[in-house]
Amino acid sequence: MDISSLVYAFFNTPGVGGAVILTIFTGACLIYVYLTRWILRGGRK
Amino acid sequence: MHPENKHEKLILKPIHRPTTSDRILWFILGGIFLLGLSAWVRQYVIGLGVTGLNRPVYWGVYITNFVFFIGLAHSGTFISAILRIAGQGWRKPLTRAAEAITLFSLPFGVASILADMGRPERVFNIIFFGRYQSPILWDFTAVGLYFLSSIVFFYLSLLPDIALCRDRLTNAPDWQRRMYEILALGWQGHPEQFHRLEKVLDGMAIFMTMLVVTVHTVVSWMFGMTLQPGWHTALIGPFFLLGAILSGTAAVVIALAILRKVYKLEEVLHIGLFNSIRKLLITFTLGWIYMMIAEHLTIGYGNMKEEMVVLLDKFTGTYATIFWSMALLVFGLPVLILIFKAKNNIGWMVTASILINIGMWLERYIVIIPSEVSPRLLPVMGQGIYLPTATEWLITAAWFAGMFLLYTTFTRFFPIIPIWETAEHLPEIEPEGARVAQTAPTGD
Repeated sequence: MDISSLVYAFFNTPGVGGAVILTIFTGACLIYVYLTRWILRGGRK
Repeated sequence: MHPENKHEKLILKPIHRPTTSDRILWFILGGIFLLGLSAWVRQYVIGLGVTGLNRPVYWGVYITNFVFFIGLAHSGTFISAILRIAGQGWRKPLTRAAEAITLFSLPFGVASILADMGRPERVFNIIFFGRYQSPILWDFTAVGLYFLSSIVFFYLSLLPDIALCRDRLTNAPDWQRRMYEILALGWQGHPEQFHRLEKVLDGMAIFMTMLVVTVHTVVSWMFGMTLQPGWHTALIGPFFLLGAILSGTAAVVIALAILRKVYKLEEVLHIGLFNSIRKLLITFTLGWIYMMIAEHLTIGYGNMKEEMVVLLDKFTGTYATIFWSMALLVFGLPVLILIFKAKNNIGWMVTASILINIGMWLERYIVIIPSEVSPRLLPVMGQGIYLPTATEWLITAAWFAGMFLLYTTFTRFFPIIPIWETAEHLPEIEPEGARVAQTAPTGD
């Protein structure tokens, strides 16, 4: 599959958008949980 | 370890057992909210026929509210994130009051979309069948991420003060102390924790600034990516964004003035803060009128048939009263008040801010309705008519009441002025680390 077909599929296949949203939200949640834990660990050995 | 703040007692004073007047206020706001909620249930059962929405007017007051609430939500990010990056130290006492507006208005922006959908459960179709060529999907992503990030940004900056409440408010009811204990996540106030917190908030401020631009631009693209007259313009993104920051900042003035008066916070929320916001408001108001003229002048010179129908409808037709009232409320009156009357006068500042917000709601209405009533495919779609019904007004009142209810409840349980950010001294790291010996948060 060439790159143009992939780009076309990304924008035109139903459901791909939903997967992107879920990936973004899950990624953001993981990063925020990590940052919160990192802050709270400050000063603890 | 907690920061040393000479105003600590004053800031914590509003946190006490709810009084009779609190309960009356909550009862009234809760009542309005429930009334609107029942109107929504009725709309869900009977269908959108109970609203003034029809073909071709699919977006009415609900979408006006959506854009307005999202605009209000920009207040917190602007005050907290953008001014943080700009190193404006005067913003510190305002940050939480502004961020709370963000947090409590966003859910009602989303609720406005759900109210506009006859079948709100279909919102999940975005996940199952979403395609990234659809601006609705961009909007869903941007607003969702903005909401999530706003919660985290708000919560993290609240964390040291929740811990302070946990340790200081020992007379609070058991459930309240337990709530502080859980929400504080074991915060100890170690200098390294403060150092890391500052680092994360500085980083998030940059990210939030990008998000704030993205969110309202994408909201505007929901309109701009259609070929409707009045919407299909490249200016619509920055125009929406500027309007959002203007209404958000004006909302912060109203909230601060009420908090200052009701909770007797004159010492912390001093007049100088209002004077600083006044300068911002003058700048944004002038920016808004510039965008307004640029947009309408370009369309007018183009003289395209479909565009002119809408333009003339606004200038001299059905919507002329709303259009010119809006211009007077957002620009004419506020700019005169802000320049000549509002310096050192909070009453006038609040008056100008209320006018701006009423005007900005009308602006959202005037952007949406005339274009829908006279769509580009007028011969096919037909001339539309739109008059909001009682159901739409009830749901609108409910969403506003809900926002006020959440805000007032929050101020009764958490300090609305950030104690640690306005502290004279933060706990310092021992000399061996020699990394941070800060007496004030970084970034300002």
